[in-house]
Amino acid sequence: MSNDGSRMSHVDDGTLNALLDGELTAEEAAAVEAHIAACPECAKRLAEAKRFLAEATDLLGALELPKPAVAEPSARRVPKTAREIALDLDGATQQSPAIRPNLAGEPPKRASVGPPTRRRLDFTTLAWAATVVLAIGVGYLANEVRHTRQTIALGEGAVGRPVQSPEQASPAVATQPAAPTPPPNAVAPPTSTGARRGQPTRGAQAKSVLAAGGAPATAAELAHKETPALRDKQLAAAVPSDQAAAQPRPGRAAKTLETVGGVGGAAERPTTAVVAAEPPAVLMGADRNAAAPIQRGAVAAFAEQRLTSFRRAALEEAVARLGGSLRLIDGMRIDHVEVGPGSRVSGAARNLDVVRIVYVDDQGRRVVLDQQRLAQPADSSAAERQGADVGMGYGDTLTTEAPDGQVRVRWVDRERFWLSLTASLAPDTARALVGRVR
Amino acid sequence: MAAGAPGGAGAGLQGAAGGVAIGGAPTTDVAELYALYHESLVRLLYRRTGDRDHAEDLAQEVFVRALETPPANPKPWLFAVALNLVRDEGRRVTREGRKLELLKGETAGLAVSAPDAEIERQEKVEEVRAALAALSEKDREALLLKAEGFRYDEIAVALGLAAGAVGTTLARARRKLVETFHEQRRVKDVAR
Repeated sequence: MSNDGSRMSHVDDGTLNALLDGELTAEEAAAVEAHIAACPECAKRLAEAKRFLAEATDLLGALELPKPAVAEPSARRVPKTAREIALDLDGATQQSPAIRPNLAGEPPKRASVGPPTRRRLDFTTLAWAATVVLAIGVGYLANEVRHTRQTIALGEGAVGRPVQSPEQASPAVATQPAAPTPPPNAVAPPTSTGARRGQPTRGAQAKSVLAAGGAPATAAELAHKETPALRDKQLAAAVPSDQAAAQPRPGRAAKTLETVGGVGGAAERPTTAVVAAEPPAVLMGADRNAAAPIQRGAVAAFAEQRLTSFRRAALEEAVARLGGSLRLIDGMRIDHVEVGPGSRVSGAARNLDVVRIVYVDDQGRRVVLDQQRLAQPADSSAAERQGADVGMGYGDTLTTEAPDGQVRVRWVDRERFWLSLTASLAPDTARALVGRVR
Repeated sequence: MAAGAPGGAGAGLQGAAGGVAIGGAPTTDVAELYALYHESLVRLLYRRTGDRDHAEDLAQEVFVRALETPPANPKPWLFAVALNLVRDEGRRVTREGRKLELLKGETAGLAVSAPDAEIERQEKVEEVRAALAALSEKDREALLLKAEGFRYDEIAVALGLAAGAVGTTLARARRKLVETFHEQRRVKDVAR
């Protein structure tokens, strides 16, 4: 500001900018213009202000969002994350089909394997798939997690969803070895995400958002800019393709199957059947039947965005993502399980997946338990980065209360699980629940 | 996509977004706000942080907060919260370090394969970003909000400025941005 103060009679730069920005009233503008017409100095400064405005606008315009297709940052971050997870965890993760698809260098292969495995299917088959999921889920959990009551609850959930809606459940098709229909959606790129896009119309899907709270992929989502989200979905959807890929690449993939067989008692795990039948996380706490009058466009946009972050998952996938074990609230019934990127949860390590377990207590109140497994301090770079995100260590507990009565307790346990419990409960009750997490 | 009438079935959208809100107030309005402002927010945050993913995350966080505490004057509120998040974060030096590293990698990767025009564009982006970084926080934020079509009174509310100060702030910010940008180029050219 080189030009005010001493020139009170002149128009100051702020006013000149206001004039250029159309912020002056008609009278003000007229007065200023009259002065400028008679004052060469102010006219000169107006021209200068105009130039600065135009150029500043142009410069800021250079900072346009990167185009979706070349969303370099996104594309780069996700593979890194998967690798980090594989390194961070105890080895089991590396063998997990849920994690492997993200490893760098592999996507092309997977993408080419993906589409042929995803087919439309009728209701009976869906029911079949759901049953398999149930059986395997039960077997897996009984062996691995040893929380029988919760297992059954989850199993029910798993069966329930695909049968509710053919749209939602259609990804279960992916688990069917012999369904030869070509990929139904012409717009779909040849990636394994194609499965979820074999959905009818945008309208129908919007409807399903509203009616069931589940938002299958839509054309809009297809065109969605968020690469990591798409990859995230591939990550889930690519499980069957991965099994297909076991032959050409016997090393790790074969191990995967072994592990899976050993744990679950079945070599073919249709994990994604349930995984892909996700509701948008934003609707998670909602009454899924009450949405009819909501503006469709707005909700669809909102929901789609959410879809790209959290989605439902089978408990076994959650376990796999956490490297073989999982924290649960003792004695509570699981409503459902979700997985999503840590970047979507405040206070979580951004580069690690979050497993979210949603419970409903006796009185229908929801309790959400989020968890991540942080790197061991020995892996100092990852641990440091995650530590910076999380901002707490073993022994720390952070309780926060939102104005609406939500209580959130965050802590890190001995095995470096980052945990976050959120509920509409009294802080003491919430902390009591924390004591039951194991 | 902008929603018209607010519907009134907010119950359908009670969010457990980001692991925070589970119950709480109806949020139809947030869905509407989302449709109206999400893109603009992401762009502003991208310009501010230089990291698209991060911008998306922050925008997400802003809407999570809107779900928790429905704002009375949403537009300035949303952007003020977004800018606050960035500011708070700026204080966390560790993360800042990480972000810089990320940006560096971005450019390095590009240099290998990008055609000249793309390299030039990328150079300009970095220069603009550096010039923007040279502004005071308030000037920078005013500029970014203006670029999202904010009126002066909205900028004043979002940044807690006196209404009469916005023009002056913008005048200073625009001049400084342009002059810094050119100054950097001069220095660079001399160095070559």
